[in-house]
Amino acid sequence: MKIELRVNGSDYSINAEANLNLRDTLRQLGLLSIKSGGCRLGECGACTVLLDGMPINSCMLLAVQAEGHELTTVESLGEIKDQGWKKTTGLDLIQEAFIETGAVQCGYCTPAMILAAKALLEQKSNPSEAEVREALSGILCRCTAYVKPVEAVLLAAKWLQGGKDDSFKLNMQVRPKLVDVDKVPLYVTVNKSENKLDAVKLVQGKPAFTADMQIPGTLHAKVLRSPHAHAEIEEIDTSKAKALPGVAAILTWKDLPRVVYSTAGQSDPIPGPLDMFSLDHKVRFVGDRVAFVAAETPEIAEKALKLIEVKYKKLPAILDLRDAMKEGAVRIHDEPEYVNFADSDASRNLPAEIRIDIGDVEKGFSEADQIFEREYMVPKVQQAHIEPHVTLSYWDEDDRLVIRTSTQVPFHARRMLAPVLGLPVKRIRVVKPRVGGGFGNKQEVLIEDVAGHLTIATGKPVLYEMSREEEMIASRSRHPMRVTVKTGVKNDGTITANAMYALSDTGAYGCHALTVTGNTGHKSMGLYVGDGEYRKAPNIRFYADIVYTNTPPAGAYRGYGVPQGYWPLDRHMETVARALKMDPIEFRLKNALRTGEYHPFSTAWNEGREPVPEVIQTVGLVECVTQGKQAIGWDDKYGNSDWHRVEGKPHLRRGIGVALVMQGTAIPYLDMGGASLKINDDGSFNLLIGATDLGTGSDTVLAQMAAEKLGVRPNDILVYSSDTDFTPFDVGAYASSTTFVSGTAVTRAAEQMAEKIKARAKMIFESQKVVVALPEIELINGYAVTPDGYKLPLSEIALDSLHRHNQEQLMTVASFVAPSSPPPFGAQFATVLVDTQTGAVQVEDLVFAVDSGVIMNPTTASGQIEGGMAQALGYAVSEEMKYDSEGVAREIDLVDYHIFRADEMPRMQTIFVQTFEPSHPFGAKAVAEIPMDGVAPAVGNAVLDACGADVIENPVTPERVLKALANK
Amino acid sequence: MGIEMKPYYRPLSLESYAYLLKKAGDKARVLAGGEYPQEAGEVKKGEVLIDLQALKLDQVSYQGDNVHIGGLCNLNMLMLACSGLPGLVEAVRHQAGTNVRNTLSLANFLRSGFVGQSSPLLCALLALDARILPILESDTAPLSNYFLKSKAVPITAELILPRSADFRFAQVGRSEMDLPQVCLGVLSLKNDQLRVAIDAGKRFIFTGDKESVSRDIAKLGSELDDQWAGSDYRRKALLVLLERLLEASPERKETK
Repeated sequence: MKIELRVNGSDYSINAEANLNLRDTLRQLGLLSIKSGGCRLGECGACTVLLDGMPINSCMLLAVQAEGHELTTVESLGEIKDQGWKKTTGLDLIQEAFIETGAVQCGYCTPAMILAAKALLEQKSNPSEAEVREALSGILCRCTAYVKPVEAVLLAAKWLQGGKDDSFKLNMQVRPKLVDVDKVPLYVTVNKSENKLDAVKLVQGKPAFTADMQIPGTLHAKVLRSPHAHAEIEEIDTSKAKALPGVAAILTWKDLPRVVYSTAGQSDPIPGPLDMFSLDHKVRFVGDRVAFVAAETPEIAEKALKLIEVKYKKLPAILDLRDAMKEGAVRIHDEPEYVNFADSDASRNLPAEIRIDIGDVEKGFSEADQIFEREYMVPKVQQAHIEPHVTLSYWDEDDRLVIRTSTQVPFHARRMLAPVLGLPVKRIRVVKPRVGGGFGNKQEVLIEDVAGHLTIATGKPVLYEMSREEEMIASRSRHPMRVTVKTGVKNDGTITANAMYALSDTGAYGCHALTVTGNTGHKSMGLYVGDGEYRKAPNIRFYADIVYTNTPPAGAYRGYGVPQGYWPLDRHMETVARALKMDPIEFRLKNALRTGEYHPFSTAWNEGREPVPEVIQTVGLVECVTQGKQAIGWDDKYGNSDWHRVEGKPHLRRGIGVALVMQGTAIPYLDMGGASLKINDDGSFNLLIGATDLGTGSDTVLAQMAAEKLGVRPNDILVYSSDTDFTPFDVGAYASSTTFVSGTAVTRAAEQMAEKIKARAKMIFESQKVVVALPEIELINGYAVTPDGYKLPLSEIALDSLHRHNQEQLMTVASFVAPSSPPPFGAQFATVLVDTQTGAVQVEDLVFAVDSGVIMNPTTASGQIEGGMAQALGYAVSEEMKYDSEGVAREIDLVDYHIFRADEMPRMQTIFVQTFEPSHPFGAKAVAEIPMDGVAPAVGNAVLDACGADVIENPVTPERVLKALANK
Repeated sequence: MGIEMKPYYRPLSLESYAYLLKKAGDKARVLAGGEYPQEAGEVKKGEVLIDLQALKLDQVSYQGDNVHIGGLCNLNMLMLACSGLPGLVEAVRHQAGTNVRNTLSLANFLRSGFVGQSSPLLCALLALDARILPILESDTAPLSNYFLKSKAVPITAELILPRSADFRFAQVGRSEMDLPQVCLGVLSLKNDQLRVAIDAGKRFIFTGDKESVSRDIAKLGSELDDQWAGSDYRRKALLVLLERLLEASPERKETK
């Protein structure tokens, strides 16, 4: 039927099916700023448009319902000022405010937020913060914790009222506090809050994401998923589905070569068992793959799924991790193709086990005055990135398979997909566009094979985008665990031995089973070495059994096993400190790792590879504690009974808590990043990197490092990431490695480039009779400069090298593999308000003081901390995934699986305590994962402080609090 | 065989709507404003879409002591129309963020059924003894008739609520805006009588004085158990919330 729409002031007449929703219709018109979060209940808001000036979800209306209304999308707001000869009015002030405040991270929800802000500011020119939060409450963001978007709207309001000037002071959360422990060199662009380079396109809603590429004739893929937790597929009949008009292909296990693999996006050899097939005759969890469908429309594909007839033979299922290794337990992986890794033993449902002993643990316990032992539980939780997994695959004109995909690991994906798809690596090209958040879930080669197989089967482009329900039931998640901690202490608080046992649930497949759980011990138990003689020879044990169950597989999630370690460990440290009647911070610091000491685990474990002992060179933990205590007001609150009470409300109690944490920075001797640089005629540079910016700002930070070495502005560096055909190899975005590993590669390439430029400059200077020694030439503000003040613009040097004399392309390539993993450290503080009658917990303040070395970009780095704390806040109080007795998921959308809205966030503060880490050219350590680690235990400790409820299982739900209070 | 129907109609009167509905028969798919995407996705090819947006069902009127809210009003319009019922406004805020509130119509909210999912707004409406006027009908019916008997709610032409009342709402969730583990709406009636709606895994309505309602809640057993919370917890939390809501209302007004 014909549909008439008025969008952004223009009239469109469209021939479309009447049942097409407004979101998909507008996207077909090329308005690709409108995104899909795959919602069931309109919960994400990424598809926001303005309808008659009001922000609405375009997925909740059919296009025909919008006839007669005025629609506005972000495409109408503004564009960059200089479009060649055409001068525009520039970006809208709201867009500029989002850039200026660092409110754009992955950018997937940014157009929606900008539209919501526009609607608000047109109604209310000077809104309060609460009103801004209310206006943004319909748009979920998993990256920013809403701190900077809220600030952006407030800034835009000021600008719209009084013009754009610098008088409006940005909130400290936007430009966080930096405290130097070591001397930090004065850099020109590094260590500065440069605007994100990709922010301009993202505030305009440019088609930057995977699904934004539209190829005519693209088929749409859907996956039939298992309704059973464990079953054999006895029969599968696709004939009715195949007969459906518009269906192009249906694939079952019978159609595909049987190639065993792991979906874990890790370096070769993958440190885990190979236990998965693209399609198998056995299903191992509710949501496991049964068949793939490609059809002309998503609706036809959906209908075809319902026509596939499957006869299952149900098998006994293991749904509780404690049952997995019991005598007589059903074996989940009995396939003959199964490939073991290290100690995995499929006959015991054991994809991995870990046994690490450092020192003499039993002797340490025998020397203790007191021993404390307790079991803690941590839940399965979801990454909940707003852009779902999405892949577009197609044959190019050379019959090479192009896979455009939202991934954190393009190079691993190419390598791993090759055998699965039956293609040599050289016939696969993986392109990573912008990624709308990943948080580890896209460190998985999860769906690329689905699109790839269907393209091979049909010869046509295939788009596969998971729904939110599929994300919840069939992607990856954080490993749930039951963790026992046993600590021996002297009466003076010296830890004599510390032991942790983790029973970890990897679900139906063993992706990341070993390495995630290894980190649970490695990066938590490594923090506490003891004091005195024990400090020199700590006694630490970490054992783990990682088991298969018939639940959706766990995998990588920001923090990578470490949050599972810190909930039990730090809650335990609090328990021990209180039992010893010691100050909880003093107790922790007394036993914590210090500068110059060995990371205890570096002598014993390295993610399934050979361990290499590593001395920790920078530990800013004491200053983190000092700064954090001051910011949260610890001394005024801790132990102050007046502060704990709420006047007139005896059922409310305030509490304050702390947790000290440590992470890692990349995987030593394994993580490798590469970079190449070339100069252009105008003195700008192309920086090609395999590192994958998934919204973190890593492209910008890497450009800052290059710019610092080349004496140019970051926007003179044209960053391209990542494409396996064009960019150098990089392991990808995980393990907090990009700034450290890829950053060092970029710095090396830039240093080499600087030397080449200087050599060329010297030649030119000499031709002009200017005598200068090579080491004396500096690159400053786009010029090569001599000590006498002679200067040459880089454009002149580029033109000389490319066109005039002894022509050569100035080009460099460098790579870097980390010989160390310098840990960042942090002190996480929380205050809470607990309702002792209902158990409700309200987190009021989160302060994180973190030693991440020198901060490359305070705005983007604080965005990482805020976003991480917000995710960790969910881990602390609200997020968990549960299954019924048949293995069916309780949570299938972001309503049931609630992630925090803008109008319910606590106050947040980030403080960077800057040490100078000598193993990085600019002194940096990791930022992105450490904020995941401390929030939950700090909140747990604060709840204990508030009312004595000693909750051993997170999240700290109201029911758990009341139960703990009853057990006091 | 009559003239083939077009795929989409936007009738201008109820009479036209009734005619189209009859003519389309089982092919009719009524569009009553914005709806949850999962339901929007159910539209099938060949269906005749009958869009109610031109029927002026998005109006609010105040008639006597009641407010009549059109079924095509969205949830934000409901909030604005019911500013005299702050407890209801709070429940709407808990129900959804701004975008869903701007998009989802009241009629489709009620039609969605909320099977297996708690709903602060529905709890509030049940406590307020909301009545609905189904489209093309002349008699109103209590909303509770549908939800307590698990009957599908017809397309609502009007929702009728008291214009103002001593109505209070409270909930406990894992976070402030999480869907509730328990929620409770309390409407004060004449002679210290209360109408209390509960959403705690299942939905209940109790009437009586405070003591009898408390007794009713205390009697609830395993029917309050589900994967989200246990009955012991829910019972206890509900009694606390009830006590608090009534304490906060020492001079309860009578609702006519």
